Amino acid sequence: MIRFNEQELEIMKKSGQVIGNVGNSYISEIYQLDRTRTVEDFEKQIKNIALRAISIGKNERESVYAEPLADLMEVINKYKDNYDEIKDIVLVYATYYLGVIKYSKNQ
Amino acid sequence: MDLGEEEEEKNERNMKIHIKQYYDWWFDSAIEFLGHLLERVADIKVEWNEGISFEELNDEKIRILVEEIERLIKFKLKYQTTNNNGQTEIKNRAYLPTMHKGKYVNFLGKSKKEKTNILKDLLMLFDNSGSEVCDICSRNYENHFGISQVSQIVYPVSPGSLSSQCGIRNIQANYNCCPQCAVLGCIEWLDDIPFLSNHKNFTHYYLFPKIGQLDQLHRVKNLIRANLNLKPYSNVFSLTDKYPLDEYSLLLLLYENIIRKIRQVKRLENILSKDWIVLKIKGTEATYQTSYTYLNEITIPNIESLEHIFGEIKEPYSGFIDKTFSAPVKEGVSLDTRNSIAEENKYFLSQGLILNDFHTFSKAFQIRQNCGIAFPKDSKDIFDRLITLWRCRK
Repeated sequence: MIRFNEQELEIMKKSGQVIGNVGNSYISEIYQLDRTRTVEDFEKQIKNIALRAISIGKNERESVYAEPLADLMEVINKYKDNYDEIKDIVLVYATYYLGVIKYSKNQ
Repeated sequence: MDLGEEEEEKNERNMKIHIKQYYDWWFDSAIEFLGHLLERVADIKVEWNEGISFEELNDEKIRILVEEIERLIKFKLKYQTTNNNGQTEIKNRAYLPTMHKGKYVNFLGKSKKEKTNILKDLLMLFDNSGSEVCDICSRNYENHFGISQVSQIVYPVSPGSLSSQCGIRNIQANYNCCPQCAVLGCIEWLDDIPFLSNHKNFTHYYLFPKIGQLDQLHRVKNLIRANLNLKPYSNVFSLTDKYPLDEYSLLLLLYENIIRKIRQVKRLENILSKDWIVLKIKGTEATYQTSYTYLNEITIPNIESLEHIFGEIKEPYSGFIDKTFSAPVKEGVSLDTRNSIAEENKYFLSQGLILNDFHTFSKAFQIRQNCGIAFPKDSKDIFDRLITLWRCRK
């Protein structure tokens, strides 16, 4: 099990936040991220989500800040052989933040 | 010979009864329980070696022991509940193999007088001769008491699955045992074992520490005993008085309760066992139960990781896992689905923490059947700290 440095973990956390935000409008993007089985697929899906984030930012009042996803690509490239560990952490944060958004709406 | 040696020799002379260890999870736990009863109830000095040794009991001590067994049968094998009309009812724990057609079986079904005679034979005379040979421990015995027929009450898993267990192997389908094995097997159901009854999936979980040395097992079980609180569906509860619904949550909550009392976590491995046996009893109908009762083992691969978690988070189950709930990502998700996903999530979170397996932990965060996981606001800090602690190098 890899232990990441603080900065890397922070990037994953912020990426999870962005993905959770995108998932609130396009839940299938999170499903697809979960379904990726290779590092190439994972990177491709992160890029798709980044595009979604930009489009949400254009259409809605609140912009979605997609820069953490660019930083995430660097982290993925650094740990290519263990990308699945990054995937687990990013998905944990993404679902966590999605839950926060959904829950705060229901409150 | 000095005074100490004389005393020791005198003790050895008096220690006439020695019940040997079986090196089997069930019977060793039962020997420990018998030793515990002798020490605590009958006030007998017990020596813990490769089994237990003690002086032969007198009539009064046997009477006290029988009284305690009778009390425990009522206390442990029955529970109080409220029916639909709001009336209080006393119910039998029907899922346990201690009963057949409404009556207790084997040793537990015998009258006080018969129990006394059996225990006299076992704890006073300890006769090791007879024409029959016990299929479990290979001792000779005479079938005086009619308790030699082995059923699930004596050994909870069916013989077919025994081949996978250490200790007792290759037992014939219809087998018989000596009074010692029968009594030990029966009284183990009265022991203080952490358990939970999940009435949704009709599964009942019992946790046994898997420890080879009997004195160490005794120490660990005493620590567990001090943290149990028997209620209808479990004897391990969270701060909010909720009981867990799966074996990993039960284990995590048990650790949490023990550590809460100790306050300062130093070396968890010195306090508790890292190897556990989970007995799962499925269903309530006897034939079904016999086939579907099975064992699992839980081995905590890296107990240091738990030390960190308990050191930093203090109450990972009560303060975090227990509070999670499922949040639908679309409309129209039924309450049943939400509840079952929430329960499954708790299982993954607890299993991930216990086994130090982040991938299993992350399964709780997968969106399934249009349901994701959600936390109350006050869990945010604890969640962040947990992930940092687990995945960030210092």
